[in-house]
Amino acid sequence: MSEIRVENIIGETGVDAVNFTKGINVTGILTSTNVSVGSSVTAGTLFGNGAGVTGVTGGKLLRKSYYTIARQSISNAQFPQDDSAPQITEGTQFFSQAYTPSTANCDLYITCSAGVRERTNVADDVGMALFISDNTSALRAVSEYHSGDSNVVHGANLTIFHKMPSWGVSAKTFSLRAHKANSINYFATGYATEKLGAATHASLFIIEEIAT
Amino acid sequence: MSEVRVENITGETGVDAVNFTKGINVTGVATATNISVGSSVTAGTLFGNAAGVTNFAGGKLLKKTSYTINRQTISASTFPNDDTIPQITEGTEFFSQAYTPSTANCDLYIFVNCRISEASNVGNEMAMGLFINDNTDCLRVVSGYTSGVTNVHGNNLFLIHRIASWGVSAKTFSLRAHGGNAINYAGANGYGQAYYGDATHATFFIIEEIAT
Repeated sequence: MSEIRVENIIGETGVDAVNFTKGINVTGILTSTNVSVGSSVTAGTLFGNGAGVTGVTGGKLLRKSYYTIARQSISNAQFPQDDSAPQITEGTQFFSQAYTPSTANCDLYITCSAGVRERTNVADDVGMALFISDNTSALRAVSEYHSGDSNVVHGANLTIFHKMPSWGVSAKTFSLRAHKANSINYFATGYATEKLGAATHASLFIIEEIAT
Repeated sequence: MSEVRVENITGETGVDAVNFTKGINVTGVATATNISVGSSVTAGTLFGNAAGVTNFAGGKLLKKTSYTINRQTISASTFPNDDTIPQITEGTEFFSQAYTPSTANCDLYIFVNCRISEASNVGNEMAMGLFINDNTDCLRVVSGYTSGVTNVHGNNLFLIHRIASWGVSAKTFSLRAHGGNAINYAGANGYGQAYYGDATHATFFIIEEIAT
């Protein structure tokens, strides 16, 4: 076995790195300030902060954000009672949130819920629809009928799921608009009332970025 | 300080790699076409494309997939009104989707929201059940009562189910309705209505794979 014992090895000009054109076998630990690899790193296990890692296989959760839909009273505008998609000028807006995706290479999954109710006698049915700022038509709508013989229900808890591709790293604004109801996230006790605490009875608007 | 200046270093046969049995300290950047590590790579921050990284730790989202539950009318059929589990031959199927998990080492979390209603006078209560093709018993069911003094004619139903992955082969999920004859029709003006747009009032069937 041949062996060279030396404190430091540098390239032949005195300022360049040493090349190992046949590879290096390290039995101990290879310690470096930075490791830069042209094509791949193969390891039994990767440890460390993955905040800078990109290109994760499709389906991975990249980011999950949430925003609060506040308890509030609103005016009771309505969507037309026909089979056209609700428009961004119809109903009453009760939530809006600008959002900038972290990458173009993901899908956005949106989940939101809200109590959409009447606090006075203004609605036999209620609905809510999801919009985005560059589209006048609703992306998704959900509705509930609550009238009948004695008019005792007065609203509904409505949930929307929606999926859409990311539009890239720029801001657009999501909004929610209500149909007919005049309260959001009020307590359901006959006509909707302000009970159980405003913060407690608020609901959430959640956006997940799933890598594609 | 001792120093060796050399353009290239190879093993003693001229074709083999050099061994560093005490490790390597690199002050600059260590550059290689490929790095193969027997046990682990540890870094303050990881950068780069992780598309080939597998076996994320348990609890991580591996994949999220969505399918659309279309607005549609169906024939009204019922589950027996007793305490037996609904069977895959009962009620009316209104959605089916084949699914192949990406790995056996995950749980599947299923989220479904859907409006089951009557477009004509056919049911006093509504329900939907989740099935899988190799089991005649329903995996999960959710229900709502629509009759009584308040003729609400339908319900927005929300179903969550967890099932262990069966491995990388296809099985088919399905949803079957009890009582109603309209899926994702709007709750407005009494009986379910074809309002707000076909695509807008459709809902989602979502599957999440969570690593175990």
